[in-house]
Amino acid sequence: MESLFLQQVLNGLIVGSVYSLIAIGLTMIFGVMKIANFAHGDFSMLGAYFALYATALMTGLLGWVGSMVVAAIGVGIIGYFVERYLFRPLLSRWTDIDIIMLSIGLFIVLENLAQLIFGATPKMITDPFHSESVNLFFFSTSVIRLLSFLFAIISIALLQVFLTRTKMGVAIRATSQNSNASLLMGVNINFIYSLTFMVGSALAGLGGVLYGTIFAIFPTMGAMPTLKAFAITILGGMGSIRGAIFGGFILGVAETLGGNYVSMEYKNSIGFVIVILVLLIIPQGLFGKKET
Amino acid sequence: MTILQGVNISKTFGGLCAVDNVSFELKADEILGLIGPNGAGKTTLINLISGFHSPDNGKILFREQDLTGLKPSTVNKKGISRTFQIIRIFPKLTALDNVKSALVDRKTRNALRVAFDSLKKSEKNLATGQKGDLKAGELLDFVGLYDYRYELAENLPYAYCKRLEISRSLATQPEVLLLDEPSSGLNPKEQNDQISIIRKIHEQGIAILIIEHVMKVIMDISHRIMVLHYGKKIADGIPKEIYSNEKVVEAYLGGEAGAEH
Amino acid sequence: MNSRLVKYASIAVGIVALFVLPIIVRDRYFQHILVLSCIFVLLTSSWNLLAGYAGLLNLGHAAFYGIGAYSSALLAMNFNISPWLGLPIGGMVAAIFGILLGIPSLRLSGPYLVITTIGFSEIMRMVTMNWVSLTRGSLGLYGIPPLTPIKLSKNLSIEFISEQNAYYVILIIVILTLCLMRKLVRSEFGITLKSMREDEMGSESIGINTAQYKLAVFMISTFFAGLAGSFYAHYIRLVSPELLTLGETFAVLTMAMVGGLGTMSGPVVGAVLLTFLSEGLRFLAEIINIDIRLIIYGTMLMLTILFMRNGVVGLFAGLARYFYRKPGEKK
Repeated sequence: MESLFLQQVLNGLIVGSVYSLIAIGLTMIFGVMKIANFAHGDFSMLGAYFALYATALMTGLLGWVGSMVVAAIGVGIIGYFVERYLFRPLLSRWTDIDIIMLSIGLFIVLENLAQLIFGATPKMITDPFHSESVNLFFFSTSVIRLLSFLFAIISIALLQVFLTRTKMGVAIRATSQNSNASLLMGVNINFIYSLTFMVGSALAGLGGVLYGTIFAIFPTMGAMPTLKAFAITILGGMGSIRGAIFGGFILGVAETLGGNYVSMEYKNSIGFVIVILVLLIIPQGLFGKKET
Repeated sequence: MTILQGVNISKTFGGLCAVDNVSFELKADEILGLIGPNGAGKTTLINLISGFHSPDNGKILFREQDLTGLKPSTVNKKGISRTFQIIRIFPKLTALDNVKSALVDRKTRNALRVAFDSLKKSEKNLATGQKGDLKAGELLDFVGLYDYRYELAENLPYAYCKRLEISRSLATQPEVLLLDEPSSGLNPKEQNDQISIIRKIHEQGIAILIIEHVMKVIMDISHRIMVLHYGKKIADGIPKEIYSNEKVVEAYLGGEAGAEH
Repeated sequence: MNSRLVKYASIAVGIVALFVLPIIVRDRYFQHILVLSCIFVLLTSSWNLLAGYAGLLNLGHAAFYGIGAYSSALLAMNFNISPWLGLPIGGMVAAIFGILLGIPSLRLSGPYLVITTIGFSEIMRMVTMNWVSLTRGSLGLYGIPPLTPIKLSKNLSIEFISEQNAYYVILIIVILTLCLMRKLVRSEFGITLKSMREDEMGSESIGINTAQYKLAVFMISTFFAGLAGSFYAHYIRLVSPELLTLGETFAVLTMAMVGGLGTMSGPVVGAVLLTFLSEGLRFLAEIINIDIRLIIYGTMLMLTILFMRNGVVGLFAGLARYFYRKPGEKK
């Protein structure tokens, strides 16, 4: 019994790592540009489809890793155009109602365009390990899941290094805290906006590949990750990367345990319940700034 | 007669003590000036009185009623109005509508009641129709904005916006008016106009607590002045006394006497 | 005086035209689209009240639509309550849920409000899908009784199963609702909402209890969404959890934006336009075998926000101002 519980917790952590990856992208974009992008999950979806086609060309483990690179770069480029031509014109003009509605419009278009182009039937990325599983101590999981978990962790770690050790990363963090001050310090804000959005979207794309690896790939798969990413960022504090990491794992574990011990059908509501509870009790999230 | 009283009020934000054990009295027939260097806690005090913040300690009494911790809208309904340091008018509404909004009778009606009354002809509907236009027009005339009543507030020059905010705050028939730097950003002529308006308000029998940095204005119209510095009250008395008070001079100028602001 | 007369006359003519329309165009499918348009006008106007006038983005609107539909259907099927009563009751049940959602929403804004309302909507949808004993889950409820016929004399009664008669009912409801909303918006209540939308702190300082007013608008908005849902239930006579999907809310949202947010005529224009467009595209979809309706909706939404912020109505108002400005007046 105990090992079953632990098994579930570890399953939750694996799923949680992917959630974190996607949520980090969202919270970064929100922290720097104050854009709540409701199409974020669709970047994950696009990443998954890129990977699908990439793995058809390159097989095996290398193919899978390669597909992640392809997905990240591909989605990053799409992100550049979305930011430059859709969101940036709005930033100075309107209220955040407009930005939210725009991203909803984008979400509708991307989802249905994907349905049109890729077809509605769910697809799977071929597992380079052919569902081989691994047994570690008292729990077991498939190799590919374990690797997904590791890749997610590595990506998050690399991101942290980028944000703390590189000049561009520091500029991003500075802009997220005070864009005016950064501007005065010589930071090219437009460049930072593009960079942040690209990195954030690339992370979503990467997360999408892992998400698609663990679950399945279909055109409407973006909606759930979007909502869960928002739930995570609210839990962790909008704009806080640390919060997104913690929040992602918490949600992953909560969902898995909740799904197994409470009810399978309501598994996806757990995220929403958490959101509502958090907003009622600690509105700024676990690591967010309190609003004066 | 004391109409507004603050007793040992304190408020801390994070690590900063914005208001530190401040007590004050405002009499019904006076204009009380509130001065102090930037960051002294003056706006915070007004926020505490008007309900936008809750004091950590202390009480705020209005005519013996305890207002501490009440919501801003409730405080207003009891009879205290305020203006803001950075104006908070309604930009996309006309000057007339800005004032009419404040004329709506909310003291006796809640939101649903207002909604229901809107659907039928009710004497309670003071703000709409001719009655509302007349009353709002009078209030705008009081501050000299009658000719601009159909202008969108966002199109009015800054000085007029300041006056609009005052006009709007009078529409709720307050007994106490809290003015937060009504002259900031105004040129000398506009400041003089502002002084006359404030005097007119006082003549209506409204007690006034006014924050100002423009020494000319505050020395001119205040009956008494209170000085805050780093959240503490360091002086309280008539303008002449304050002007030559050592502690006050030191707080503002770091030691030199008498210079005009 | 003259322009007022013209205005009233044109409204009267318009209303008469709307009543006469189904007699002229006897095609049942066309009449069905008219009914759908009216339902969407109700949904879009009520959503616009919250979003355009009070500035609150409620993305759970479809949930209240569904709650109204299911409430009225269940009352009629299980307790033999007359569908005519079910209409306002469905609205009231929705309004009660509206207050439930409104209370936590008071402290929220922007994306937080959006996510909370989406969350609420999804939770309601999942409840509808999984509480099978009550709602029959994904199968939905069918065989819902229609609006009970009105007996005129021993042999003559008006039924409400036909599209045409149903249209008359919903048309009357819509006209009454729009009149009510218009009154509200132009009244003290309306000016309060506008003040809140402009500056919340400033509103509080003049005695507006913003929490109270937000709740009131939530109630009113969700009531009409529920009313629309109840009517739908007794018209289509089949309800399913599909009614509570985000897609329905997005459709309403698009109609409101494209028509013109924050105006009375905007939602009407948007709802009618997009309902007809949607049905027209359905034919196209069958011909070229691709359903591109949602893509078009989404694109229209984005284009509207980028280039035509005040919607169709705003566009025409701007053009009117441009052409009718007095000489020497600035643009």
